[in-house]
Amino acid sequence: MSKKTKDVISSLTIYMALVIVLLIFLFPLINTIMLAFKSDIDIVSLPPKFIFRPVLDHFLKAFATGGYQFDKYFVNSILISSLSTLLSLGICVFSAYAVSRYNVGGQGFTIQVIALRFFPPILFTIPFYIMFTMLGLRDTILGIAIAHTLMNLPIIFPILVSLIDEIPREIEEAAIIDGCRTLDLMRYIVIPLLTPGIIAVSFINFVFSWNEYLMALILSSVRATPITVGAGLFIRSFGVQYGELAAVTTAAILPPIIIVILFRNHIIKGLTMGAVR
Amino acid sequence: MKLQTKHILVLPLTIFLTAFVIFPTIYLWYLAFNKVTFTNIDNPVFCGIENFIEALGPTVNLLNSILFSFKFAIVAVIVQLLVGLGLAILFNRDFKGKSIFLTLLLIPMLTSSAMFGVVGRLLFNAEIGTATYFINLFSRFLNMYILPLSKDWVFPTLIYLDTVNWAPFIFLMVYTDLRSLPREYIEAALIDGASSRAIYRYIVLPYLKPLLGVLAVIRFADAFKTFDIIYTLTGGGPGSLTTSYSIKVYELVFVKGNFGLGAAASLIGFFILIVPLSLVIVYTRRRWTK
Repeated sequence: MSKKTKDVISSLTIYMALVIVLLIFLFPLINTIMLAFKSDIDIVSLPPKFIFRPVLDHFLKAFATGGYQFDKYFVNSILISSLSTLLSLGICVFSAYAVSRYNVGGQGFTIQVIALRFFPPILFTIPFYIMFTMLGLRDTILGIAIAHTLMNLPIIFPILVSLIDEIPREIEEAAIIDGCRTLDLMRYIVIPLLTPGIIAVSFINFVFSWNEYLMALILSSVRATPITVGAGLFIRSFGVQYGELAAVTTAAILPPIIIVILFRNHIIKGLTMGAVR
Repeated sequence: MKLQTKHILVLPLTIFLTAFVIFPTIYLWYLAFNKVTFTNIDNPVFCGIENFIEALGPTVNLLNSILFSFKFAIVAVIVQLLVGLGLAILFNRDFKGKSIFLTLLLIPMLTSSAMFGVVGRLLFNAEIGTATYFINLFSRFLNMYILPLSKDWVFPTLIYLDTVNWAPFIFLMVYTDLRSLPREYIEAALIDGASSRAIYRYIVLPYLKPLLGVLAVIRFADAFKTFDIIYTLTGGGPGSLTTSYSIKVYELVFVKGNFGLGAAASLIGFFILIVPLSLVIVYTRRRWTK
């Protein structure tokens, strides 16, 4: 066999392997999205149809005409994730700067924040339920956003610390000699330099908050329910309606997918920096 | 002056951690030693270690759930590390369209675990599940009828879905690490006439070992506390077959309304997780930081 035919065969094997891998990893999601667009008759037909006339009935029923509130749940998800992102940044950026530059709290501080990751969220749900009820935060957007911020801290905080570590200190030192104060230093030098990192962290926080389920399940009842918890309601409260369930699930999984496709490099950079340290 | 500024900078985080970590932790311990249910949240009755004894007793059957969580976590970690490593090796070469394949493979990683449970319900449904249909197209030849969510098959189904959800994360970490492996190592080995198998065995794997250790610990802890994907896929069933530690505590607290008992149960599970985990961390640190 010539070298060229060998190359062709080996690259063919790789592509075949890749297609099989993608099928294994993406088919569950593709199947759900297909179900969402199938008519009721196509859903139950066997063998399963892969080519069918797409209909929007299930989306319309779940989000507009069916008397459900999934449109509201979707908006709730956007509000919770955005608010949680703002909270995380507000809490973390300044502290991460202090840890990076002044080593506040010593070596162990960041590790302690990361160690929160090992605490099962179920531990926090019990006191949170009672605390948040007493504070009037249960079943509010703010309450769930706070809980999500806590869940995301161990991921967001170390990423921000290592991003700030990467910014050369010389720029700040020069500014200090010119008489710049710490807060101005942050405003005019650190934050502008950190912007790409802040964008990456924001996407990560947004997606993780969007995907969180347990805290949202416990802290919401009527008003602040996000879409992930809402989709679960179809299983338990509304009986079996496959099409609507698939439509709501599709709406719940698509925003993160779109964010990954559009901002892949930001997210990869952030995740590979912070997750393993 | 400088001292003040840096403390003001960490103030928001300090307040947040005090309010939402330290205080709730103390409160959780307080609840664990009191009889507190939905009806008497305002005036708990002190009961010593009764909750802990009851949690370990036969009616609650907490240890069974903890055992399930251990089993789930161990199998999930092994499968996901192997799959992630295999994918990283598959991607560790140049081919056209790599970035598209990479992006597509990362999608499951950033899809909600809870939604993966729902997705699994639809895929493996007994009536309309596409996967159920195709599985039985083949299993017919073995004279079997497989229902993926029935008690015999629910565990492999769960592991499959969790692997789809998490192996891409392991893959991404391993792949990134693999890319930073100095080229010279492999070139030197090639000059010495090493086979590609020997290169993986003696260069690549030892290089990845510390990372794989860290990933195993992180993933084990995550898998042990799994709630979302199991709850939305099976609700802890059939029976109580897939009732993990977190689902058990959830049932005690938010279904049965017994906050005190649930708090005690959650603490028992936490310590059972944290003891072996910290041993592993100490052991691996000592070995790999040398």
